[in-house]
Amino acid sequence: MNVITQLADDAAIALKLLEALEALAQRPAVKQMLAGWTGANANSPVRPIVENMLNQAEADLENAGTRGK
Amino acid sequence: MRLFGLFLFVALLLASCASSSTSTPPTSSTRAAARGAVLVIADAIAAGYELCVVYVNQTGDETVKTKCLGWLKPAQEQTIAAAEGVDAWSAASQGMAGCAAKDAIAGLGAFQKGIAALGIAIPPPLLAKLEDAEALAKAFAPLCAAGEGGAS
Repeated sequence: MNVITQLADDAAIALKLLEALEALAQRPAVKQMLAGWTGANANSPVRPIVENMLNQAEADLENAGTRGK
Repeated sequence: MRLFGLFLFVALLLASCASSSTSTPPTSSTRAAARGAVLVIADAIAAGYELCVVYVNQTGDETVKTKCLGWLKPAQEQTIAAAEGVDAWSAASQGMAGCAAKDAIAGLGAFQKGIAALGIAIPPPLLAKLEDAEALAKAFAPLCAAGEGGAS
């Protein structure tokens, strides 16, 4: 009986998590981002991608307005 | 006796399935969502930088450049910290990632208010990115509350 109760509790927790994730994934940008991390890239580190993206964007701003000077 | 042994085996099997269903699938889904969230936040910051680049190139206003860097650089650093936390994915790093994401969103909020105060219009695609980033960071706020919160 305890095993059945435990199973029911676990299923309820898993369902709540899935509902929360589903609600998040309604937004198109989020859906797209999520898709990349649930398949082949599931174990790839995200930091190098984020770091490159943001360092490049920062460098672009630092160089802005200096063209032709 | 044999029947009892069989029952015991089935009970143990069920218990084992129950324990794996609570830890493995939700954890990997949560981690995938956290990675997605970090990328959405990073994308919003990059779009913020881009808006500033376009404005500075058009006007040559160096004070806007300095202000943009002041708002976006801290958000950038917090987002990189959040990415590091998601990659490590330990109990402590999850808390750190949640808190860093929260701080990154605070930085984006300052950027949005500051840009509006300067009278610069925020294009709808950037507004949508800011909203997505905020929604995701809020969803992961419980990670900050549950963890040690070393990012702040």
